Amino acid sequence: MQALLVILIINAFVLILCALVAFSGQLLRQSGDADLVVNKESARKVGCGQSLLPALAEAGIFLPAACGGKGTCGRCEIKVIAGGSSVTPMETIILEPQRLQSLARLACQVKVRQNIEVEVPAGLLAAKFLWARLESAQVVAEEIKTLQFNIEDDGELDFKPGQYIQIFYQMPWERVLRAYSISSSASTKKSFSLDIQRISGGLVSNYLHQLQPGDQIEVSGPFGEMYLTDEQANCPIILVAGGVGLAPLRAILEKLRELNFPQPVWLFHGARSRKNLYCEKYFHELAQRYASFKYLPALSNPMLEEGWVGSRGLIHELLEQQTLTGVSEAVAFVCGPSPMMQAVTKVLVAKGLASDRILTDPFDFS
Amino acid sequence: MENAIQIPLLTLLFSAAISENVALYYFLGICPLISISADLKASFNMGLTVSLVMLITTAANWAIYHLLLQPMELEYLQLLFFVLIIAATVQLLELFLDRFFPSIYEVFGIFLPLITVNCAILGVSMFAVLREYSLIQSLVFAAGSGMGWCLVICIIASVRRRINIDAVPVHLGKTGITMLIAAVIALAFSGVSELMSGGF
Repeated sequence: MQALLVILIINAFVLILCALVAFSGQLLRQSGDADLVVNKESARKVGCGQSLLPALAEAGIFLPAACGGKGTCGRCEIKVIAGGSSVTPMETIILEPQRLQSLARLACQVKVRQNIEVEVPAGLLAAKFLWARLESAQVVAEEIKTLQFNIEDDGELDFKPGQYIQIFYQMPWERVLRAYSISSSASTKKSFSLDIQRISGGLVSNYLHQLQPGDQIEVSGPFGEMYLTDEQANCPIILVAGGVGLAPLRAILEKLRELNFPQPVWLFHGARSRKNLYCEKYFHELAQRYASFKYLPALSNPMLEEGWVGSRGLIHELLEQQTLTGVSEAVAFVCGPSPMMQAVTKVLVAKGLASDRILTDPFDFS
Repeated sequence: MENAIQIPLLTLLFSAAISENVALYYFLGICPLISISADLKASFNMGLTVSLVMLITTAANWAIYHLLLQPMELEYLQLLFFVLIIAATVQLLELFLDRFFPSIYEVFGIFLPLITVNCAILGVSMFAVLREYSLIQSLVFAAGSGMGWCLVICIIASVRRRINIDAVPVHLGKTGITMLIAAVIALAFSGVSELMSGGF
């Protein structure tokens, strides 16, 4: 009897505390609207009490947030001209002091409490929210699928080759965001494809791998600073990919193929073994058809039974051995894990390529 | 401890803050003391937050103990109830500051939720009950303990600023040298209490 009473008291106490906190949360939540001014345009009403990232989304501006708004990826950087809350400890880690002084902030860390004026980089304003439907899924290598999506309704994805999109994944308790590079040609605006490597324990990669044709997903984009401009398309191009980092470079390569490879193009692709290498056959065919395109794969750990006769070792080692003509005029696009990108950048600089002509896209699992 | 009732409030405040400092005498709240004390401003903010939460939770826990647990002879549940009270208080304080004092909320920032698991907070509540302090004494004890903890973390942070420019034996690392600093400060604190009682 005594034990029952104790259990009852504890439960009642926990219940009272929870009710108190929940009730206070409702009561104390800041209500009302604030004026949000973006790039000196007319003000839009957004709800107070939320962070700037969802507030901007409310106003139709979708910022990239690969970390899902936790303040760790630093991709939602904007400028807060007036009315922002003070800098959070998270921001002092991500943003350098000079950037903070020039009013740079992370949108996910700024709380809307009053009328607020912000400056969003023009490149980020083009991003849209879209629904897409899976058209087909193809296994291209071990744990890698190429997923082809069609955009629903009258939406269009106007992206540049090399850019990425974000995929929303709704879990019961939170909404997760992940960034994936578009691997298809930028000339089709109604569809896009993604190369997805399944990561064991990865939330979104597993979700995408089990999608069936006809399934719908929510995406926003395009985003990303690493893309091929028309001007660069007329320079020699060096593409260096590590594993599934090939995805954005495939989009760049498609663009160059459409232009019939006006200048020399080298594609270096590093993978662990042959079963991790993908699109090998297609690239070999391209290299046979176009004299100015060279395909150079390298395997770091080829299996004996695979009968690999090509290059062995890490991709930056293969890059180092190659003589690339006209390298100082070239533009390099590098995508892969961070240590690989650092090694490749070092080799390219040593070969005489200016570091501002090396464009990289960090590709680390978040 | 019947005699605890007779302790003058000023002595209680002084002993809680200096001679029986919660961090240096009882080794409570050592984790944030070492991890946060790299920066003086953050240390001061953390110290202030700890003091405030300590004061509120000690009063709330005192009330729960004397008005609910003791009359119902459920004293053995004090740990469970105290932890729940502390968690709820921190949550409510966070909501309240966020709504009405955003500038203070931003100063406290990430430190407020961290305090939920600061054992100095729980320790002070339990000492107050164990020593059978009255409500006023409990509040004075909590205020003294909070101020003492804040003082210690600020002193350590100030000394650690020098370490950044001085040559410290490499094997001491950051934690080792911080423990040594804490030890020297502990000696100084106990020295002050001897001085006050005329012991030398």
